[in-house]
Order: sequence, then C-alpha cells, then structure tokens
Amino acid sequence: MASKEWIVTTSGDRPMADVRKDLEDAGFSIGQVLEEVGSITGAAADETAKKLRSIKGVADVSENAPIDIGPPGSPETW
Amino acid sequence: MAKKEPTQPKGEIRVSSSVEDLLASALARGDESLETGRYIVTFKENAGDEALKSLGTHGLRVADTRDFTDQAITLEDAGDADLVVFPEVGAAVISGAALEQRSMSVLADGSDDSPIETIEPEYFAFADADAVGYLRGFRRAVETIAQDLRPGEEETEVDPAEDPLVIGATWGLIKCKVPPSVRSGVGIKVAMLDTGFDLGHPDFAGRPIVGQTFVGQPVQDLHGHGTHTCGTATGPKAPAGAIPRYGIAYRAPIFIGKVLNNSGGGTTATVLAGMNWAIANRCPVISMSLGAQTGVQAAYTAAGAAALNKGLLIIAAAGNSSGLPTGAPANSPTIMAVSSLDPTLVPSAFNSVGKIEIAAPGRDVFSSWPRPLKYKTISGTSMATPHVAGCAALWAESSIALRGLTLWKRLQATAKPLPFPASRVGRGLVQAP
Repeated sequence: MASKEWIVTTSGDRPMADVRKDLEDAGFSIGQVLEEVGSITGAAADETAKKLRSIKGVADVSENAPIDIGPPGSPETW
Repeated sequence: MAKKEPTQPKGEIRVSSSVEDLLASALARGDESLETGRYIVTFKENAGDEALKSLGTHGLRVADTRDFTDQAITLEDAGDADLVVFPEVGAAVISGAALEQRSMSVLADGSDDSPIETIEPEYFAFADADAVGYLRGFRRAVETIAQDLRPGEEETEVDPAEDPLVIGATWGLIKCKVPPSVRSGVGIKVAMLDTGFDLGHPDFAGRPIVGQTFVGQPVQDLHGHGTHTCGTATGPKAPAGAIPRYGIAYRAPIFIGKVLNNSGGGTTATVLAGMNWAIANRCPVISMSLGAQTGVQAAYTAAGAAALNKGLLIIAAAGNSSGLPTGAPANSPTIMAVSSLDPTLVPSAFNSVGKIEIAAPGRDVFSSWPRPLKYKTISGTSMATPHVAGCAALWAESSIALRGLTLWKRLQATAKPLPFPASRVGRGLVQAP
C-alpha cells in the first residue's frame, strides 16, 4: 500500500522519545520530532497509521494536508 | 537622539519672538511640552490698570495694544518690550526671562489684594492635532537647514528609529491607533510564518532579522506575501521617501520562518515545523497569514496550547472563503482568529466566518513587497492578521505581564466594538496601546 505523510500529535503524558520509539516499532517512518509543539511527522501506509492511534501518548493521527495561499500575484491569498 | 546646540538661549525668548524662533528655542531645549517659553498673565476683573501699575513698578517695558491703530498689534511688533498688554481681554503676554528675573510669580500668589489672577505658560497651537509630530518635523527641518549652513561639518546623526519625520500612515494603522502609540515593539520578538522575506528590502536595513526555511528554499521571498505581511507587523516608522508609515512594531526583532514556498504552497508539517521553531525561540507573538479549509487540526490546537503555556501567542488569518467557516489553524481554540475589515470598518465580503476573536484592516492594505516593486496594496484576512500581530507586540512591550492568554484577553478587551456579530468581527477592531 502506498505510503502517506502523517502528523502524529502527542498527548503530553509520555516522553516524546518513548512515543517515537513505539511509533517506529509500529512501522512509522519518522520524519521530524517537533518537541515544542508535541508533534511527530512521518510516513506510513493507511493500515499502519490506523494502528498508531492506539499507542499510549498519541492523541491524534492526521494526514499531512497541503496548504496553498496561491501563486505570486494572486488577487486572493488566504 | 542627536542633540543640537541651542540656537537661541532661553533668556533670549522675547515677547516679540516669532513663532518660528519660539519653536526653534523649544526644540533646542528638547522641550516637547508645547510651552512657548512665554507666559500669559491674566488680570482680575476690572483690575487691568492696577495690574499695569504693579507690573510697571517691576521695571518692565510694556507695550500696550491701545498704542497701536485699532489695537492691531502682532507680537513681532513689540520690539524689545518685556510685556504686551491686551486690555480688552484683561491679559498680557510676558517673556519667561522677564518673569524669572523679576520673580513675578509672587504677583500671582492668590492673595486677595493682588491684581493678577494667574500666570500660566503660553502653549503652541497647531491646526494639526499631531502637534508633537509637527514639532519633530520642524526640528528635522531646522537641523537640515542648519546643516546646510555649515558645510564641512560632519552630518548630524539622527537615529531614524528614534526621531523620524513620519509622512502620514496607512488607513489601517490609523484605524488601529498605531501612530499615536508610544510603543515600538522593542525587545518583543515577532515571528512571521509565511513565504519568507525580501532580506534586502531597504526599509529593513539594519533591523535584526533571523531567518529559517522549512520548505527547502532560501528564506528570500520570491512570492511577495511574506514580505507584505512582515511589513505590516514590523515595518519602519518612517520609510524612506514619500512613503506613508505602514509598519507597526518598528523596533521588534523579526523572526522569519519560511513555511510556504515561493509558489505559496506548504503542508501542515512545514507549518508545524515553523511553529515549533518560533516557540523554541520564545517569540511572544507568532503571526500566521495562512491556512486550509479543513476542520480543527489537533496538531495546531496542541501547538497553540504549547505556545500559550510558554507565554506566547499565535495569531492566524481566518481565511477568505466568503462565508465558509474559519479554516485551520485559525479554527483551533488555542489560536487567535482574525477577520478583515474594509476602510469603512465593515467586515470584508471575502471573510470566512464563525470562530473569530478579533478584526483588523485587511482591505487595500499598503505594505512592503520584494524589490524591485518595493510596495504593493493587496487584500485578505492575511493582511488583517499582521495588524493584530503588530499591535500585540506593542501591548507585550507595555507590560511583561501581557503574554500568552493574558495578551489575547487584553487585545480583545481593548478592541473597538463594531456593530456586527462576533462570528464576523469577534470583539471588534484591534487597537494599539
């Protein structure tokens, strides 16, 4: 199954290093660990991502979504 | 601030001094009280003649307007008189020097037998309400002229951030009451998460700017959006040339997080990385003129909470989806959502609606743009957001207690209420301290 990018939001009740290890063990390919905001980015297939939600210390798993304010000179941005 | 040698000693202020001389003298004193250095003596009712006698005994040279045709005296006509008497209004103008030399304040001692009611400072009067600004402008002009008259001398150094001659301001800054604010955002780090910034823009020469990219492209802004939003939040007090003031926190250290590429694109991950960086750098104000038309994103809500917990405030644009709900990240409860106002202070038609905390000027906003254009006027909640961010920096400067949620509440409490639902304008138009 094709891999997608995900944002894992931690709940803050476990050290992020521990959550990261569990995510990796579950097959999540770690991108960035953003300590200050409590998020871990990475890639995984849909099936794997579903499983990540049950890991202790994970509050949310959402697909990394595009943001587009439009090209230069757009009459309307965001 | 550069100090000039006084061009006219205080003692030389005469009753006959011209307004220009008085201004020059006031400026040489560094006096922004708007006092001219002359005083107005008010006589008690029907005590004018007695007062004149009393003043005469102090050896003052008196010019009486009754000695001039139709009493049409201008003070410049008074020659070396110490005092000009206006019997019709029961008052006189006296020079400060004469007042001091003769200890005349004892005449207005309030005793029943004194013919003099009061002795008060005379003040400059200006047609323009911005009298202090006028004085500064006048000082700049005087210094320039003085410079021209003394070739060979080194140029007087005038710190533009300290003492600018401000040529008007954008409609947005005026509505937010930014020009009269004494705050500059000094010491308050402002993070702008956007398309980067034109790091060589002449209006920002010498400003402390920290840049970081999260999209694999240099921070240099080839889009324009980021340079525009940064200009509104942190642009200079007095741009070069005949450019009106368009920036609010003109002494704030600037943190540029490039989270959108030069095509205006990014992802939740690039934006979160920028937020993480801004929080790690403890920027009390984090401005985000970006978003996507999605529901509340847990990651943004957590990031907003992390910021508030550290005394930092994230401010985001609601979006230009014309009546659709506020987008993410502005729809997170921990992030302050901003809607746009037109110059008539009605909500802009393009606004997203729903979760709105505060409103700000967003229609036809003039601000900086990457060279060679340098300036551009554009519209959007993106343009409203940095107005709130800039004002937030001014408030944060005013008190160390105004951080995070406290700052959020203060911005709302001081906003100018508008006759529209909170779902369109929140608590109203943001105001500078």
